[in-house]
Amino acid sequence: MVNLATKLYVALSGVALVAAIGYGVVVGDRAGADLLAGVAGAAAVLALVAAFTLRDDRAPAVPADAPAPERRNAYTEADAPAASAWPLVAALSLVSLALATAAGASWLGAALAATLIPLGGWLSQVWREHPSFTGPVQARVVERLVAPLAMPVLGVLGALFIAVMVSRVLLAISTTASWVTALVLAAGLVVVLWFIASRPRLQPSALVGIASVALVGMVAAGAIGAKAGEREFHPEPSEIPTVAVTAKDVQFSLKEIKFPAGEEVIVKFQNDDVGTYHNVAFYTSTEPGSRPLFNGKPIPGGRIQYDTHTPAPGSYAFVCDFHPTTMTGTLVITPAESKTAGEETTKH
Amino acid sequence: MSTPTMLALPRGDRGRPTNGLSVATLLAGVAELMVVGALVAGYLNVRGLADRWPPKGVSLDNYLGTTLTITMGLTIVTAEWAVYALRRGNRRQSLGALTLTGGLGLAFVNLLWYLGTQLHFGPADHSYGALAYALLIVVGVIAVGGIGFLIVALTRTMGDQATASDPSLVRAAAWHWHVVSAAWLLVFTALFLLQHR
Amino acid sequence: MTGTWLTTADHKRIGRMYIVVALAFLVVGGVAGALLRAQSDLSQLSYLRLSDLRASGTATLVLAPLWVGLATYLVPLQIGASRLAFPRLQSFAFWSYALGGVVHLLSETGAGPRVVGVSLRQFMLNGAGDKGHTDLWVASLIVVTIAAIAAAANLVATVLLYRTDGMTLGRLPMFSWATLVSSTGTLLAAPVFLAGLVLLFIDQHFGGHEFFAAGTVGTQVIWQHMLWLYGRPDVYLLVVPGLGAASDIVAHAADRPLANLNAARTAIAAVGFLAFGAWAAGTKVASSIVLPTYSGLTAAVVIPLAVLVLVWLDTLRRAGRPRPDVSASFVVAFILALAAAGLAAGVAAIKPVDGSAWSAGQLDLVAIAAPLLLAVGALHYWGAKLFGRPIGAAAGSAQLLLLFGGSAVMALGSYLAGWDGQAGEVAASDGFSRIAEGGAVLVLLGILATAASVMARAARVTASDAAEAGLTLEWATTSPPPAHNFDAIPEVRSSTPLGDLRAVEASA
Repeated sequence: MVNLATKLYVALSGVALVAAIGYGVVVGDRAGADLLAGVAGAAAVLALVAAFTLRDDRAPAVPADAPAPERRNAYTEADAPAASAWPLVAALSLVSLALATAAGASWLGAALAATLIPLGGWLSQVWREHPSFTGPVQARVVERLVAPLAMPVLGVLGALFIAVMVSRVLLAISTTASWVTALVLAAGLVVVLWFIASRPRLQPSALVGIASVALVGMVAAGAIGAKAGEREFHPEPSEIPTVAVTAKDVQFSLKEIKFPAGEEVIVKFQNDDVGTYHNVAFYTSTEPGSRPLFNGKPIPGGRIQYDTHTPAPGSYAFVCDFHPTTMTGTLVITPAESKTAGEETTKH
Repeated sequence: MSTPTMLALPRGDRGRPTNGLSVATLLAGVAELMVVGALVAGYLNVRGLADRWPPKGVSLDNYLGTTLTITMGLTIVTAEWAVYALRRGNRRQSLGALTLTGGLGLAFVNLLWYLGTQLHFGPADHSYGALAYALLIVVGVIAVGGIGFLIVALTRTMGDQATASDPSLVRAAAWHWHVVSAAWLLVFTALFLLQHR
Repeated sequence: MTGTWLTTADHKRIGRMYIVVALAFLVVGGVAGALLRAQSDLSQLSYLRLSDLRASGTATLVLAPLWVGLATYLVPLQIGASRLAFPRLQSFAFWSYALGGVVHLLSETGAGPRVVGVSLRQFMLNGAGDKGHTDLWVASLIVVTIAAIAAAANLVATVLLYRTDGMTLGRLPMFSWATLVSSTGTLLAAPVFLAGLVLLFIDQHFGGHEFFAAGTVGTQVIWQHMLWLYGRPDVYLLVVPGLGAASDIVAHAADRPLANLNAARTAIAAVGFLAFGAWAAGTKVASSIVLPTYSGLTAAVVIPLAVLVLVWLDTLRRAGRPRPDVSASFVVAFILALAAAGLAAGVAAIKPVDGSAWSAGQLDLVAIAAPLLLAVGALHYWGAKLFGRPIGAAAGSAQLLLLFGGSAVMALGSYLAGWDGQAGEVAASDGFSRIAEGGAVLVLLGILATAASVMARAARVTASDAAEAGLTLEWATTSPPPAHNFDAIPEVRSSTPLGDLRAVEASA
């Protein structure tokens, strides 16, 4: 159990421990003493590792009448480790993580995701080099794992790629042109596929050529389309009358709310009195016994949006149902505006 | 210089050692523990010199810390169980134990993330903030690495590359997971047990 | 099978790449520093940043990887293995170091980082620096440190597990033993630097200046233990592989094993242990007499160093037919440099010169020049093995003269300037400082000469069957060795297996 490495690490541990205690007592610097104590502990672990791994570390016994030392067969070409690109890729990935810390959160996320590539690649190489990974095993793995996984994944990725590239083009041109282009593309696809299917003895190189042309074309068109930007869309404007009210210190922020009659309206309510329930409610008047028109959901704090419908024109009241005496205001409903020709009414 | 003696002599080399992975894992583990230990040393140093520790308005929920520690305690058992089962040739049990350890590890990381969101102070607000975030991030990174190691061990055991005769991969993954537990124990001691002066 | 230089997992090629890149960084840093210093209107801040790059940049990006590269090449050969424990891990470590180092140097350009540097005892902010550069500066250092830890773990595992039959730990050549000690040290000390870098990143990235700001007592202590170059064991561990290499050089020059193997091993291990004494630097110690150490424990390193020198002298005394070569001269230069530093330290006891240019000279000599001399000497000693053809005695002598002479002149100028009262870490232009700068130019020429000859050799590695009569296993195969290192290997019955074999074959 006791070999030279164990002795080395035990000595380091002992020296560090003595230094930790002495330094801590004499100088009182907590950080330095704790660091030295950490080294003492770590070196003790290393000593155990060395003790159990190397055992006695003895040389084979050489009898006194043994022949003189001579050369022995050592290694062959097969003992040299195999090359691999994955360490370089892993290093690039680590450095890109470092660069991403300066670039921003989204880059960092991308760099983190990218670390899976060298990890997966390195693992697959180590896996293939294991002696149990024979030819039949490899065939089974490809059949059961790689193909069932790779096909769908590649298919999804391919579909995404096509969708993104083609959509960049279709969004950049006008509506009519995009219809025409899509139909032309679909027709062209049918023609190309019929061409391929009708020639059973087509060379693989020809297929590769067609696929490459398509790929390059899609990437180029997609890039141009993305650069050109999307065409103008005219979203319909929403013109729902909206009012914002805040409740603070058991008071409303507004004394009067004005809405047009007979319309969908929005009241954006914010309760700044955390812990106290408030709401907004519409009544015909502030007299007790008046008819409620709308009672908003009470909240003990935070924000809420009330959607409701305004009554006929007139003067009403809005109150807080929990503090009807102190939190009140006037709700004025004006006659609905006549719509001018050409303006579209919107319905939500 | 190279005149090989082509007699029927045994090979002069020793062949590859079988426990290389475990040794390397423990060496890396010692390094990981030194990172955490250094941060704990810094924490204890600043804590000893501060007027008020933790600073005003800072309080860590002991419940979360205890739950994390219990989770890690469970993983000590499940990780060793995985190695034990594989050595006895019980591949399915070993896979189950590895999955359990990995699942507990994911739960650990998840709860650690949640603890981070409940801190109500930023890493730059005061020195406590910097040290606390450093400790949690470092232990989180080590735990994620440990889960990755477990996943590798799990998949390679499923692929029959770690067997009863050569359980070194699972043994190494279990050693590394113990290192993660030890790292968490150090962080728990600093942030929770020694939270107040 | 062995791939190209991008994909190789052959420890010999990786070792050569480490050496070439480290020397390239040295050249880049040296030239950039010289160009900057030539500017007469260098601001104090720029001077400090330059000074930091010279000290911590050399330690982190040049000297440490240079030793790692030599160890990567030589340790498997010295222990009779065909490979490292984890060949591809070393490739990953190399590429991470190379790319991370490039990013680190680039982050110093332009506005530069907000942090002035880690060779300064007190945390300092650079007002002109910007956040992106700072993030890159810290993150790239984290990458380089991770690479160093991975390489160290790999070397420790290799020495512990891949020794050939008969090669017990007690029979290890001194360079492999020293690599075991220094790699263990790196494994334990570099993570502490990593922790400090994480704290620095968090502090600088999230905009807070609470943590390392001047006046926060607790965090200043953390800076001094976890980030400051001379408060960490790392820079003191840099001399350990050099001592191992020097021991091997002396044994080769004497053509016999070291006079007292146990004493040499214990002394090298003791230097490694005492390096950790850097953490026992009382943080209220204002200055230090025995630079670059700031703690009594680290200063005690002089004892095992003296033991080692005595063992070397004893070995040479007992030598039958000494075969001195240029690498032995580098060892002598190293001893002289340390002796000079010791004398200068005695001077400090007479007149308080600390904090002046004297300190700068002392730091340059002990922390940078001395280990560099040993590293270049090791390159010359093993040059034939690494590149097929040796670097050549003429080139070696020229490099020695430039490097040692330049260091001596630089140190002398600094000492005299300090004695004269010139403040340290300030660009100065009086007579003695001019002498120091002249010395620095000589050192730069020596660096360029060394880099040129090493890179020229590395570019065209020629096979040679020349029987280099060494004592240890790395000489028992061709130069450079085949991919699998050894076709046939001598039986190991002592610490000098090849020496034994030659003795047998000579008498047969």
